[in-house]
Amino acid sequence: MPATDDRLEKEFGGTLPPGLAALDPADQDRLCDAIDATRKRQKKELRESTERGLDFIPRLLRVPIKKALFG
Amino acid sequence: MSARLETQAEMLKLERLVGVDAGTFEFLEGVDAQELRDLRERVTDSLFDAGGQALAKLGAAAKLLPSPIVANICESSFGPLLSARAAATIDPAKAVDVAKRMSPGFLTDTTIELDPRRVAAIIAGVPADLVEPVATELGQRAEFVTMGRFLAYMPDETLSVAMASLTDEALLRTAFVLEQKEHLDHALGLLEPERIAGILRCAADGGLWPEALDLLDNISDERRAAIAEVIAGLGDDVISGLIAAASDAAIWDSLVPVVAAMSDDALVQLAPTLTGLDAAHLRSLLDAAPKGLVDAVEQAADRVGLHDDFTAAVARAGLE
Repeated sequence: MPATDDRLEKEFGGTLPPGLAALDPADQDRLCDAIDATRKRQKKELRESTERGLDFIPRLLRVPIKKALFG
Repeated sequence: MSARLETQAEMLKLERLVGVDAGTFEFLEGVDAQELRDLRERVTDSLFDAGGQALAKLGAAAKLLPSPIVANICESSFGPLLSARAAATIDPAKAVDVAKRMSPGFLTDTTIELDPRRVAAIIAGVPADLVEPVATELGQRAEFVTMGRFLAYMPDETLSVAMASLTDEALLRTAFVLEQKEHLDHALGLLEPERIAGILRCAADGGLWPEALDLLDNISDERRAAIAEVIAGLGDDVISGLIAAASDAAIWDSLVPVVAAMSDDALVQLAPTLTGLDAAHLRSLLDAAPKGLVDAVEQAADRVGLHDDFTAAVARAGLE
């Protein structure tokens, strides 16, 4: 896992401004952990929902839909 | 606006974005609000950009299906998160047509997962009869951050409907976390005038004066003056509560413009409360107030025969 400063800097997308940079390292970690957890939860949910959704598409339309989705 | 309140509002929005309870990020209270806003927008983009290519294909696929089938697939299979992400890639007219066929509960779930910046054209096209149940449910679920993100993108007609669907408390809490607070003055102008008094009473009863002061901080001088008059007429108990709340939350800089907006007659109503304040509260208020305002309050006290009491109170507060 990257150093705490690097993690929050990566989330921020650049050099941290003074207030965020001054946060206690443990608090920076708590913040990054919460963001990471959300990202992972959403990624998993999106993947599972997409796979599940194809089963609900009427059979006749599955071919053109799959073609649109997967080329 | 009080920097402290601005940071508190941003903390609530960041906590909502990552789905943690309010207060979890208490350690951020010393951070500048703009820094938190920049972080939140960056994280929002990062979350919503994920899987963009696949979602665009999903949007393209939705074009091939009739709206009732898309709505059915969304509700029975895709779920709110995927439906919300895909919505941003669908033609807005089609998206509105699909939304009309969803149940209010599912539409509310999906709304919570949307990034309004990406679906502004859809929000603009949603009819009032669809806004009303969703806004009501968002209010009931205490989804104030979601409401606050959406109101900024609504045209007047649906904005009025959404605000009318919220209780006074929900409206006050939503205003506190509203995106683009420069719209607040216009939005308040769309409210029935009698709701202002209700909102202020709600602030008094529910300990929401910081939220009310923040609202007053973000509106025009003209509208603030009108509301300040209403506050002055609410009675000693309410005004004392307001002053104590401003003191406890260290947001005198938000209270002073409200007192400054009061007419001389309103200050006369306020004078007995101010004169009766304990030394610490009076000192905090007068310290934050410009000289002209202190003089105006003194004159108001004079008009109601409380000049000596006011002078004594000021002396007790350790001020000249």
